[in-house]
Amino acid sequence: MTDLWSQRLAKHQRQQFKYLRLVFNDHFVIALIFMLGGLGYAYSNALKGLTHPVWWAKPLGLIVLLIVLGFGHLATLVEEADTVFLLPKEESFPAYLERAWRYSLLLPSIVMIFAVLALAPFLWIGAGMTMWGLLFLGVTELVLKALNLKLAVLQRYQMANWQQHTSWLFYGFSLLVLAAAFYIHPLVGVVLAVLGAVYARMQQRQVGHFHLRWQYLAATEKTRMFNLYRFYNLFTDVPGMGSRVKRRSYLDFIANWVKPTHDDAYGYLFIRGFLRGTEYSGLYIRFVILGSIILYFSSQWVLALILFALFLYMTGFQLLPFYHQYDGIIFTHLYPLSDQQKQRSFERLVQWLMGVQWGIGALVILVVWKFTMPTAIILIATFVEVLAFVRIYTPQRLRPQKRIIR
Amino acid sequence: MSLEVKHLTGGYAQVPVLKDVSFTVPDGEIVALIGLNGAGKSTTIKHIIGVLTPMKGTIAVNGLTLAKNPDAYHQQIAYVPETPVLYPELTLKEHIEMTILAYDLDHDETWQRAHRLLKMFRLDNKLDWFPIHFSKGMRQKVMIVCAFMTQASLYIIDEPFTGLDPLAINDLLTIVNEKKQEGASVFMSTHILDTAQKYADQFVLLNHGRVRAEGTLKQLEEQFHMSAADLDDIYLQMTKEEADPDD
Repeated sequence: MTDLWSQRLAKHQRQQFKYLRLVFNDHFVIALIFMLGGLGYAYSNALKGLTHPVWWAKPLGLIVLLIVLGFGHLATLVEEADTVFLLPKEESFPAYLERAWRYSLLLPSIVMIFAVLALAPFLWIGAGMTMWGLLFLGVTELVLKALNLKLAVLQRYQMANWQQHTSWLFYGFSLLVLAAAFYIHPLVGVVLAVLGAVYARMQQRQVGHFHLRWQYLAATEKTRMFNLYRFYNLFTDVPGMGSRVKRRSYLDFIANWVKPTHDDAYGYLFIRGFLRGTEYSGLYIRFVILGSIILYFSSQWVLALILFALFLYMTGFQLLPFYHQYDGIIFTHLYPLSDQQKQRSFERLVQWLMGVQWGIGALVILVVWKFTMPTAIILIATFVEVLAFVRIYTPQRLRPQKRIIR
Repeated sequence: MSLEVKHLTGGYAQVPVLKDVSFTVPDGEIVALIGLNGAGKSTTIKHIIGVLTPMKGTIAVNGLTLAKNPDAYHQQIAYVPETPVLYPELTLKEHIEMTILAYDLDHDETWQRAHRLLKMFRLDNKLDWFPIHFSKGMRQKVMIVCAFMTQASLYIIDEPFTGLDPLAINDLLTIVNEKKQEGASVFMSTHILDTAQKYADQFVLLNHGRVRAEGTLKQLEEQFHMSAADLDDIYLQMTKEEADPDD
């Protein structure tokens, strides 16, 4: 069975690596660096305004740490077929799940450490915590995550009724532990968390006497993988992962702005596809909101210009694959419509979307920089960028390429 | 002469599936394309609708070819695929609108025809639904409505009778006959031989990518040297030829 885990893990990691390479493509990495940079800059600026302890520092730290605990699930790599084929191997499963637990703990641990590190300066000033206190807090957070995953292992056995409420119990306990760490002493937090972990460990000794909840085991892993692939699907095409479609009839008035004409038949399709599909509209909304927030906190106008330009470019760039969204639908090849007509309709969509994004960004810039020279420079430069993107770059990228159909 | 296929050799990539295929579909006639699985029926249809390009030979609809007049060529064809293909983000009503826009049809007139068809297929109360969630048969009906509300001169239907309930098959045949009366031609591939025999005027028998026989049932009987045979017998005869390489 430990061989099985090794095999599964190797296969899983190969697959993940394949997708991660696609997720962390050049554009995304650049965007990520700028976003982290922007956020870090905004954070450090906000910290400058914080000179003495404030009452809300501890509750805020507590809530953030509690939310961060939710990151990472138990990866069992169990497949649906196992519920049939591995049934006779049930007795070997405790060892298998132990390996799974160890592996699952790796990535969340790094995230926990980073979360505490990121919070450290804020808690240092805002809550007057000491170096040792922060260290103990980090240990508490780590042990709590380990406990969280251990409980997830126990949950896969038919042990006790309270297991249905495991997550409530866990978050309740964590709230208690973190509150003790913040308000009594960080060491108390460590002790309580370790006690919880020891209890879970003792419970784990007994799992051999219980049956596995096979259906649950397979179902949770399936959900986990589904969520993971849904995330990857934002960046690349995952086979068998269609994004969801919502009716959103309240947005029909926007779709109706596009005048239905033969020449712009694709416009009719594109606007509805964009508004009702979750993939591209979700991406767009995220970029617009995140971009506006980061623009608001950019303290240098040159930085604001670069970020604004970058966000516009990234939005437009991420929209381009939408042009091919309907290539798989055979009718788009049969319509008496030319590629030029399709292309013009698509350009109108991109222009419209980038225009709205530009308008929202312009409002933010106006609020921050008022009617000054920097505002004028930023708005004119980015306006020219949008025009160039839609009129020059987009047509070049969409130049008809013959595609082979099944 | 509605559809004229001459010496068509074609298929995917380098491997020709169809070899020197020639046949015609005259105006106002229903022609059935018949052959075993893998004989090249779907490939033939893909060539006619223009998603595959011929390696050799020509395909013309009313004298127009895809290479010279792509838009005018497509304007004359309506197609019902074997498996329904729908836009996930469009409602039934919007599928009809989209078709009207794409083919530049008269809006009100086409809607009148569409309404009649929708009623016939009991879809008229589902206009605001996403048809992608419909059952297979209902999705097939949506495809039929979208194809037959146009004023095409050639209707191409890939396996029209699979997945439809008997009532719907009957309705479809009624529509097909109407179009035939109006002078349009219908080209369909099928396995349901007794229905094909009852309704089609002519048959094209495809075997291993070649046209084995072509014509009315009478002409087929002569070619296979079988008298008073029905399509089933001829079809089986063709299958036997395949099993016996000496024939």
